[in-house]
Amino acid sequence: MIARRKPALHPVAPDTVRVWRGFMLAGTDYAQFAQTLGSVFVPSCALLQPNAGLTAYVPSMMSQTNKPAAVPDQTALMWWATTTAHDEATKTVAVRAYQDLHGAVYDTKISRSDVPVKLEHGIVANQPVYFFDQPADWMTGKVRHLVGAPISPGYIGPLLLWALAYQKKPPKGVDGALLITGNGGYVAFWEHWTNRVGKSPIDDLAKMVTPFLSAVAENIPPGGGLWDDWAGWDLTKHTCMNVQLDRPGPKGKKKK
Amino acid sequence: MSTRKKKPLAIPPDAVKVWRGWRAPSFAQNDFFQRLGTTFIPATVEMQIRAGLDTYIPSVPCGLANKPDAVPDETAILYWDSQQTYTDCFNLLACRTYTLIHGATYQVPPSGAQFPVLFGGTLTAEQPVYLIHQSEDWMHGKVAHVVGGRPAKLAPADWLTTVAKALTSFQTSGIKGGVACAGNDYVVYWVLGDKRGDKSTAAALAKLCGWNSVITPKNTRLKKGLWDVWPGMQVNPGDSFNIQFTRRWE
Repeated sequence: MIARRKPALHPVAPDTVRVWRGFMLAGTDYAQFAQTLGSVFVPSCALLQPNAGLTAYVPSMMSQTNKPAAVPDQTALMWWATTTAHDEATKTVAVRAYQDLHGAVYDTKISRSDVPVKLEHGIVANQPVYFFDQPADWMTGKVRHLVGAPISPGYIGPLLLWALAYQKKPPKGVDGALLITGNGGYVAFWEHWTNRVGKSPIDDLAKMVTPFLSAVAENIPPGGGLWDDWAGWDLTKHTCMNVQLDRPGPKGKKKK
Repeated sequence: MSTRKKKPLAIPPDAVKVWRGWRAPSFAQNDFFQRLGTTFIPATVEMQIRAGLDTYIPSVPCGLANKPDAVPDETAILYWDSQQTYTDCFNLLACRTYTLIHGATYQVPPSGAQFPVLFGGTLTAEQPVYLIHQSEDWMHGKVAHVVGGRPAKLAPADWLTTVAKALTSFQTSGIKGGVACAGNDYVVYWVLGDKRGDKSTAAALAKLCGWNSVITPKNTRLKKGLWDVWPGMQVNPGDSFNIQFTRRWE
């Protein structure tokens, strides 16, 4: 195993993230989906994109037990160096190749990623919101993630009240938070702790939903490089990861 | 640091994957060309050199006038250090990633690639063959490529027999290397060190086809790497490239 240096902090603005909700391609079963994601897709995202500007990557898998179809099968946060970095990255062969993988595993008609806007007065389906303006480095520290199906059909009002209260009085140690709801079918929330995870209102949110994932992301580096002998991750075991990317140095020098 | 070159590798004549690809129905023809040029052909090289790829010669019959649907839209030969090198490639993320992007671009099946067997005088549909049992360096040689369709007057079995007779004669024609694959309705053939013009084996095989195209791969070196800003290559109907690169053992 290669010794990894402690990464230099790389805080980025809260609207540099793509919030991904993935749904399995029809005709694939979950075991096959998880295997393909773990052996190819998730490692490829982690290894093909940092040299093109990816600064943090938090992929997660939802439990399939009694999961309604409206709840995503997978979520991911992909943080980029700037608001334009994601689009700029597609000018490279590496990122185009990664993006061409999507059609092989996801239902691309309903799977999507969106850029968040600031939480102010409302919550709109499929529009992620961020809570705080300050830049944060989500790869360092800890990420806690909750995905669930709302218990009450009238959940939007209470959800907005909860979110505004959180925004007004965030837990000490949290410097970033993201929320999304999709067409009444699911709620997903992420919070970023600069150090250790502490007490949080996320526990109150968890009471409003039937959870399909509630976890602190595992900070974990890839087990090898693009050309190393490495089978990838078993995503039935690593269900929520904060992948420790090998980010380019401050001068942006590429590592191959 | 030593500047001495590593020992050249004798690439085995059977360590070649023979690809015949048909465009996915969901892909418009122009999108197919764009996908090949912007991603697929560059990624084949950039992601697999370090895994042991030694030669890559893709060709794009797609879009050629009157090409029968049964003739592949894209063909390629890919030489590796050995057959085992190719098998081991799937232990590497780069190769798994490259392989998975096929599904979005091609119709699978019938698209696919196999290693050849040494040609013994008869052909089995969809089983590639190689004609000359000696190591050659196709990347640095003069290559010609034939893609052709079965003439309507011939039944598939007679077509395979006709192609087999031609290949038998090619084995003693002085060529340095030959790789072929025939389906019930098409043939693809690559030759190294062929004679010129009408006396070539490529011309002889083309004459047996109902529709054909004789293609000369153009030596092409990619100017950019995986993470460089680069729109990719321009790909047009009938294009063929003998991609020039530095192997991992060079």
